Amino acid sequence: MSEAEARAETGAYSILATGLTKRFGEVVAVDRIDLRVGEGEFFGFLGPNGAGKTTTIRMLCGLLRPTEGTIRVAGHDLDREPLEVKRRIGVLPEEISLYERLSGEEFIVFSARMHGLQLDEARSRATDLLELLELTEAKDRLIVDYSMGMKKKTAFAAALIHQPKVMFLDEPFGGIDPISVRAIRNVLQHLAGRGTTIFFTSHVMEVVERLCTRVAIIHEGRIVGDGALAELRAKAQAGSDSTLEDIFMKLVDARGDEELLSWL
Amino acid sequence: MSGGTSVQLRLLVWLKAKLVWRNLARNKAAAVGAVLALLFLVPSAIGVAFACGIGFQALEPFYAEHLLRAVLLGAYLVWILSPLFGLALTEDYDLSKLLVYPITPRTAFAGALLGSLLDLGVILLIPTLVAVLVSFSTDPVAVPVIVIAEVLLLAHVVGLSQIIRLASARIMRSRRARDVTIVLVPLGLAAVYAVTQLLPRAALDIDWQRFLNGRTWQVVSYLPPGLAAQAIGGASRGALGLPLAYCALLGAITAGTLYTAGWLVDSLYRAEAAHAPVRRRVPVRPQQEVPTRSAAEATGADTLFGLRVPPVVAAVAEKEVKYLLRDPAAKSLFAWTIYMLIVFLVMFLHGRLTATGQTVSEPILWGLVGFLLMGESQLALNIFGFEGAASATLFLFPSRRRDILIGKNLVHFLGMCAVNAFMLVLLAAAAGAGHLVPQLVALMVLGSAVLVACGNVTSVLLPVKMKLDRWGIRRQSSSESIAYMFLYLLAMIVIGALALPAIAAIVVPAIWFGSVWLALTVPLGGAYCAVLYLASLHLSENALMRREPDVTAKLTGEKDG
Repeated sequence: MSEAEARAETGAYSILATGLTKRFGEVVAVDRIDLRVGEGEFFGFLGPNGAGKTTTIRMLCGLLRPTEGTIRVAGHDLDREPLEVKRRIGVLPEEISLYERLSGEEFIVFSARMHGLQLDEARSRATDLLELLELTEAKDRLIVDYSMGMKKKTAFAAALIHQPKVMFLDEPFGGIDPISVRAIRNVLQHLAGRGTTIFFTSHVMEVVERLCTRVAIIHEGRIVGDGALAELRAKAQAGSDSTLEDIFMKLVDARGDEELLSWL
Repeated sequence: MSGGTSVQLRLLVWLKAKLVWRNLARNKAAAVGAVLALLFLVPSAIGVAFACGIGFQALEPFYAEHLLRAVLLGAYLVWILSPLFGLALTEDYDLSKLLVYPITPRTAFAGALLGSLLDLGVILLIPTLVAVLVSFSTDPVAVPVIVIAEVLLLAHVVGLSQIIRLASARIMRSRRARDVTIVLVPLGLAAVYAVTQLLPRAALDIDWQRFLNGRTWQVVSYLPPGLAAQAIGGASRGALGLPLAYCALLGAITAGTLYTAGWLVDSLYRAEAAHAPVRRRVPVRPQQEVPTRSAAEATGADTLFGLRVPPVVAAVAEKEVKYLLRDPAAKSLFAWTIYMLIVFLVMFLHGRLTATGQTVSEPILWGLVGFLLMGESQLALNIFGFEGAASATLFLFPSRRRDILIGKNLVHFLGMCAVNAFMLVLLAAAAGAGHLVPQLVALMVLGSAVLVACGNVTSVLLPVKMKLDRWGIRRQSSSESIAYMFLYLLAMIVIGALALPAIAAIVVPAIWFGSVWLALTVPLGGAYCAVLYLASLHLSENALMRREPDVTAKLTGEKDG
């Protein structure tokens, strides 16, 4: 057992992925990446479209089988103990797929009960979450009639209700109104402060820069940068006043488009 | 027409041709459908055209013209009613997607009309129109009149079809309307079936000579197909003034139809623009404390149908019940069950009423149990198929997979038993075989248990994404569909073999040894089903743990490496 695995076993690393690879036919979506995320870390996972972020998250939650590599989450091997991992994680996927013929409240209570909460406790927590996320008025409507933002908030509530130790959030703020964004952000900061690990992807660099204690950047299936903002600056050889966006552009080798659009 | 408009029209026709071709090239089911259409529908259309041509030639002019009215009316009804049943005779691109371009609604509609010339419906109609042209062109002057009448009728039909499609698209935006339609289609078909059973007898009693001279048929004569038929008939008799008048009337109706369709497209455009969601203002509240209650572990049990069951079983079962009551796929399945009930009721009652009171033979009733279970097998043998993408959510829960399976099985088994028992009681009564009800119900209960048990295994090993359309639920077409059908057939043979002891436990004593033996064989059959169920639960629970990512990939339609 490697030192990293030993640390993951004792809980020092909430997420430990080694040599993680996913191939779709000829296409290598994720290429031998290693991830180490400590307990209570607010970890940002960035990358351009098609870089492999969502594929990675789906593998880390057990929704997609890796072609190669091992994953340990919350001290448990995902391959050998998938239910132990799922007991400890909350997931907000990018593409929301809920039981749309349940009402918002029914779905959140259902999720809580599936995590083993008693009915009374499930209902009580659901009421709190619905109130917090401004969904109380819509709680009895079927999810199929919800807007995308409301669906996302419902999925967030369901991911949170069992107090997970690790949360995977894929683009959590997309399509959500500013009031709910602030509520969710506060909840996440509170959770991270209490030791919950947050694994978080977003295209909004300001949000990532503000929230995350550490960031990894994936590009074409490979990690091209991993560390705190200062470490990333050093790696990208960027100036001390450079923003995460500047660093990101450098590390993913994004070219300036001004010349291409000279006719504009 | 400005140069810009003609370029746009050319582009729209190109888009239509490209989409039709891509659909054939990328979707094997569509390609097979096109080949089948070429092999069967086109020859059928040519055959119908020949039959019409022979009829037009053989009948006296008076009757030939009435036949023409009937033929055109039939084609007309097929064209305008088919969009209501989701059977698209026109392969349309979504007109609302053109909203973002600087194109007028009228140009978009004109493009759709031109594009429809590539449609199967138009292609299938052409042989009959040619037969009409050939049969009624008795005079050189008649030819242009007939051509004008046919072109006007075709333009009217295509325009009217567009109106119905656009109007139904507006209605179908409502989830409730979609749900209702899904249920209504099978019930409508049931009504059509019942009418077609009664119609032949009624047709014999009709005085056709009186009908042709009656008011009903006269009204039909002034509908667009009737106007076209009268113009064509008149022209074939050498008249010119009256046929041209009919053509003018038909032209006015066609212009009105096209104008209305254009207006609908226009209003659709404006409605799309106006339907941008308006957010409700919510009062800003002071930030709340995050809920921090301690987690309660699953230690207790919940009550379900009066039984004490683990909380996860109760949660899954409650979810499943709600879904069966709300999900249009489940409603559709139920509506098809009602459809089958009506069909069999009509068949049994009709048989008893017409065939000298003869009752339905017992083997048919025994076979009926298998038929009912076969109909429900798409639910029982593919229990995750209706979850679709939500299966990813289900498999994220840390619950014991055994509990998830039991929750689903409980609801499916009890639901199937309740619905099937109701149907068997009604059908046995209609067949005059009420005394068979206990045996039929016992066979159905044991058969349902076998089906549910085997369904656990097939659901894990052969999951299939189910797609819902206005015809109800169907398997998602894919390149694997033929392979899947083969495996499914194999699975059905295995299930049939596994069901033999349960079938024998009821049928053998009931038919050969006397019902008294059922007291011994029914419990034995029940025990066999229980053992089979426990074995399937063990097998499928383990298999599900290993295959969850694969099952999810199948149900969400993702390609896996």
